[in-house]
Amino acid sequence: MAQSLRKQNNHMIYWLARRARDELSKIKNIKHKKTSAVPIPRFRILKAPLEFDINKRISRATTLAFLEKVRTSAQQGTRKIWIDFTETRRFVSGGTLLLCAEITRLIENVADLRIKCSLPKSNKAAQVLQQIGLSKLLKTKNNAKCLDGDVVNWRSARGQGAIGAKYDEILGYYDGLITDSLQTELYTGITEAMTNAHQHAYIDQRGDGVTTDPDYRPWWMFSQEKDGKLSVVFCDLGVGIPASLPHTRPRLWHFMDRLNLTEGRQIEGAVRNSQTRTRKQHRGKGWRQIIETISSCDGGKALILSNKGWYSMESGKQRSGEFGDSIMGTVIYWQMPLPLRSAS
Amino acid sequence: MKSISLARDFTKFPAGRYKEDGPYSGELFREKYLEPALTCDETLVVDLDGARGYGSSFLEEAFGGLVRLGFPAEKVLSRISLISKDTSLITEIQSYIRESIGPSDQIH
Repeated sequence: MAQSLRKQNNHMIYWLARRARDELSKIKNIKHKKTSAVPIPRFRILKAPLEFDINKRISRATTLAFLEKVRTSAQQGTRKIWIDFTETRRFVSGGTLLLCAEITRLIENVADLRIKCSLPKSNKAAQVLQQIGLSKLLKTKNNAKCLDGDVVNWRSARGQGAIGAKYDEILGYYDGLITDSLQTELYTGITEAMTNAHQHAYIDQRGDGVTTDPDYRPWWMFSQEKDGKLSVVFCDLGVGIPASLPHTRPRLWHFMDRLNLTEGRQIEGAVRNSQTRTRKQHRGKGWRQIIETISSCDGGKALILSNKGWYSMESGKQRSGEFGDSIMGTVIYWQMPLPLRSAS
Repeated sequence: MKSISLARDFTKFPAGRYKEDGPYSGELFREKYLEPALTCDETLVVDLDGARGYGSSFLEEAFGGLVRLGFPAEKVLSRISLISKDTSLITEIQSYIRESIGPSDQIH
């Protein structure tokens, strides 16, 4: 009888303990869910803009002001930053790539820096953060399922140096969808951009107070398919084309400096003057090859944004200009139409 | 005569000028295939088809770099035979060889 009672008690203790463990795990889960939405005390909260874009003047200003705030906070000693994306509704490829690049660079180069975030209220914006891996980078749980057509077709790559195989990671998917010659042109433009980033973009420190190793010369890349068009965006966080010209093209730089050209015209000068070979220095076609490849196809366009300047080529027409603020790096953008796919 | 397919024997993803730029640069291709053939006075047929594409830095360093190293342009043009469906690629490489300058003409 006594043995049977002891057995019953043990059974009861076992079930009570199990129940207690279950309840505890539920409480832990609730706490965990709360931390992904509400900033943890002692984190410095920085409110992200409504839209991340660097092509339109107003949204570019808010995007760049936000990125500067993040950089300055980290550089001034803040080690816990909370990015509040709650009100962010739109991620445009160029601005979003710059955001990813800036955050990655800070995390990789500022000791003990922790950056976390609150997810956007907009489901599509949350999907984008999930798809491009930014919520993972910021160690924030994101349950958004990437289902929207214009989100699932974002692909991203990151690397250092001219690594042609990286091209296939995000653009191999389009084999057979776009012509072989267009694929070849795009490959050429992108690998030249990788080479350029490795050789010239990081010739000096960026000047934002965050010191990086001289061997740290990364690039970032996105591809996005939207509205029947394929866009590829490439970015480096180097000194920018206008600031690299005194080192890479001193004669051209002195000539342009005398004319007091805007940064947009300086980029245009760098593209126009990248020749196959001069009698003094061996050079490839460099910028010319980067910009002319896709822009020569029907409906294709290419755009370079570097520091304050911009230069575009579309259907053989060149344009350039200057913004009031600098992206502190270079973003190259290619766009081309995709053929219609059959419903099957 | 020796034949190589760049895509099969070297890589499908050629990119970059110098070896420090990436794993399959123009400098590496030149050192691995072009220089040994020219040093042995051998004719080398290079099939360029099958690779993803060729940036000008890769081509200029691989072929133009031979002249900079001291191989006469005429010798490079006669000993290295190029095959490609894209004839503009062959013209581009030949122009890099012709326009490249040898070590004695370089400005230091």
